[in-house]
Amino acid sequence: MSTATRPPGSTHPSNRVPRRRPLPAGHVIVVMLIAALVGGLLNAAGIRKTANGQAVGFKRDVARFFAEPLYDVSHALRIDELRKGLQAISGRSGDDDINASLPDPTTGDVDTTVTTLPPKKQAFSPTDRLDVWVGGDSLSIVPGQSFVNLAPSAEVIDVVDNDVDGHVATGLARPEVFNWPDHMQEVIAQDNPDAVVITMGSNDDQTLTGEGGGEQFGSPEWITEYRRRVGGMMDVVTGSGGRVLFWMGAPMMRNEERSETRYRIINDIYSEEAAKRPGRVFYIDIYDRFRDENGSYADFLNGVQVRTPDGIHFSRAGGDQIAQVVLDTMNQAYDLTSWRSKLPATTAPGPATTAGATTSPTTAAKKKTTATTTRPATVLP
Amino acid sequence: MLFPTVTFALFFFVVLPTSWLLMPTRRWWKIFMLAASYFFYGYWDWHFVFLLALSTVVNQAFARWIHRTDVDQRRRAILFGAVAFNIAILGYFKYADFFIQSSRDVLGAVGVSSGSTLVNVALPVGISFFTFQALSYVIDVYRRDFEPGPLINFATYLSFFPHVVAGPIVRGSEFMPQIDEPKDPRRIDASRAFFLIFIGLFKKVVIANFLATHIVDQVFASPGRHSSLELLVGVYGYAVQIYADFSGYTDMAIGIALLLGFRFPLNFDSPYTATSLQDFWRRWHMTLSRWLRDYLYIPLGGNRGGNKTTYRNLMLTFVIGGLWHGAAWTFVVWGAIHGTVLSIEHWRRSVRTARGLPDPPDTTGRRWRSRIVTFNVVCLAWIFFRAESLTRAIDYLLRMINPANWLDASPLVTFGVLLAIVIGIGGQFVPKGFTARLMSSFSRLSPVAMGVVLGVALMVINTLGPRGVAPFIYFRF
Repeated sequence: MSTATRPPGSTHPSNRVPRRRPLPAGHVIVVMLIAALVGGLLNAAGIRKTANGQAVGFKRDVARFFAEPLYDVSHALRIDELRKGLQAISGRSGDDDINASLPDPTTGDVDTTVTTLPPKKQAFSPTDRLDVWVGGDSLSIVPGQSFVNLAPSAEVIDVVDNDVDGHVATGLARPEVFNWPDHMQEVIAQDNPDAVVITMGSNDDQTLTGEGGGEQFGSPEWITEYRRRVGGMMDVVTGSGGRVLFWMGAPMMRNEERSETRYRIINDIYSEEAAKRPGRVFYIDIYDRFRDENGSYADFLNGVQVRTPDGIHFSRAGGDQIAQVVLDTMNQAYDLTSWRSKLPATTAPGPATTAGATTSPTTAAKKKTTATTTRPATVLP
Repeated sequence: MLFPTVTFALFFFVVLPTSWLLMPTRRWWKIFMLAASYFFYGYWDWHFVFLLALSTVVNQAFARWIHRTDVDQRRRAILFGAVAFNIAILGYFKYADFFIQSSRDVLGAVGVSSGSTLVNVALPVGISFFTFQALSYVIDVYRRDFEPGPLINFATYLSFFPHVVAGPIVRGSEFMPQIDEPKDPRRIDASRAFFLIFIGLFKKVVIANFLATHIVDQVFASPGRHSSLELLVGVYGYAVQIYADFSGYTDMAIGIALLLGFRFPLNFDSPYTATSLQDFWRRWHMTLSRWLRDYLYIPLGGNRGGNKTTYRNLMLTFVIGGLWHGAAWTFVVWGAIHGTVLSIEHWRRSVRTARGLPDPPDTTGRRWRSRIVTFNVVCLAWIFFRAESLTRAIDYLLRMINPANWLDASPLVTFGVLLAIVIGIGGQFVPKGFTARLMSSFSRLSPVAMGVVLGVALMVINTLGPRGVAPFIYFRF
């Protein structure tokens, strides 16, 4: 009845939206300050982690100056529990933990007076496949994706999750930003890959932080400490010797001076540390691969664009080239092809036994266990 | 400087009160806002501040020259010079490498080796946005729709930090009059502003980043390694990701401008509720689509020259619109798909009109069918938009529709991914009255309660989002 008296086009009273109450500018600023304070206290653990992850210098010092007491207050009043609870619900417990400790190497210096024979190659086949984990800093992402796409061509390789575990702006210089040895221990516990392909170094030409840190880049102390970190990382990944690590350093970048004076030093450490772990760590040198005939940085190689416009990262074609290099190196480290000769004669005629086949574990055997027992490093006096 | 960062929060804590304090002395306000905007823009790379300043000075000179000139032929010649200048800037910074690479490919295909190397110049952030805004200003002056203002007004408009890097594409005629109009510092529409800022943050930090890292990046990097279901969910995921990313940014931009007392036009209006592609373009990146309509499609003749001319104009407009997004053939194909489907829709309407048939009845079932078809056409085009090459896009498409891959395992299709897609699409069907009521209720809280609510919202967004802030997709355009 009452609707009949409403003018046409008018809204039913229950549908009318009350007008928004405007705020004076001063109140707006008060709201923002309270939101920042409440949000800051609730997020204090995350803010502390972000502050620690800043580039070493004044900005980081200031950020930590404010973040640490904020965290102390939040933690003391247990305000940070709300964030922890939400992290637990979303499966991200431990996101705010800061672990700056790094493992020591367990491998000593190599005795150059002894003759080292290459270990026997472990064989893989379509029924006993090679599980590969791929990851590293931002330079690992495009080549890693290329490797994911290339792996099926070998018919015996599976890439963990068909994905690259890339973490932008990380390395071994700043464990409080991202602790790679810690992360790799989790990866190994969860996925137990047979092989690991890691790319690192392009973010490490800086002052070291974390346990044993504090040294300026390039100093003898820096080199000693960085060598310790690299060795520790290599030993964490290879463990007792069953897992092989393929380590790629930084390529030459458009900033040639920086490349020559910084990435050369870092790559040399990788190369030397890999040499101490024969058969366990393969250093893949890509530094010289992306230079032109004059030895300078090249965007194009053979008419193909291999680098992105930033002069640092790889284009898809560049990534494809690196993926092929990794696969070639894996073929040196493993026997990935002899299974072909053991196929029924109708599909693959040829000798039933090859040199590689003699070392192949039985397909019935559990790969994860054979991986750690069939490849002892052979060192003879 | 990205909006969802502590750096920006500190910047805004200084800019907001200073802006309102200086508002009564408009001259100082302009100088301050110009300086703040240049600082914001230069935070990425201070070199490009000079480019922004150059674009400002030259376009203002062209606009004033056109305004002073009475002879039509001469006005047209000056306009041509202004358009050429802006296209040259875009061409050098955005398209030079694309043309060099394309010509190398063509020459290589016929066996000719080219020695040219890439320009390799970094793309200035927001160049497409501020160049289009400058063009609209000069063209509006040419059309006598708008008189050029003082240089400092134009400079403040072009560089205004809430919109300088990724829009919305605000016209001079919309923004510049607001610079000098009186503003009441006691009546800020803060509840709407905060609502937009926090919804934008949630869309960007939680939805867009989650989908990018949990399915989209993986399936587009290696389509051959994923099942058809993963590829299908991956493209739906990308549809939501790009919407959440871009609309999230513009929501924040509109909210920040509102706190400073400025109104920006709406840029997204629930685009995945569209019942046709024409409807979609009334809802998606609305400020770009009206720019293309007013400064390209209509000057080309629009739909005034018969069906064939209309189809040609639609195709040209959308192919150029595709190229605006980036220098790659994938964007051309994306634009061509939109142009083609819009032409088909236009053809169907013209056939119906010619036969004197009435419009089909607007039933719920028909509306939903149209929505589903439109959404899937948009998603088909997104495959080309997102893929790194045409070959990769076609591989993606072929593998997705291959029935042999439908039974493959799909570990990437998780509850979280599906939930994010449902939230991203479902959120567009929330009645406008509901959000209006929510904003109204929020506006009635005390400042302390408002601050606490927003603080808790900050915690939820920060905790659910990934560590660090991924750059916005549209910063590349």
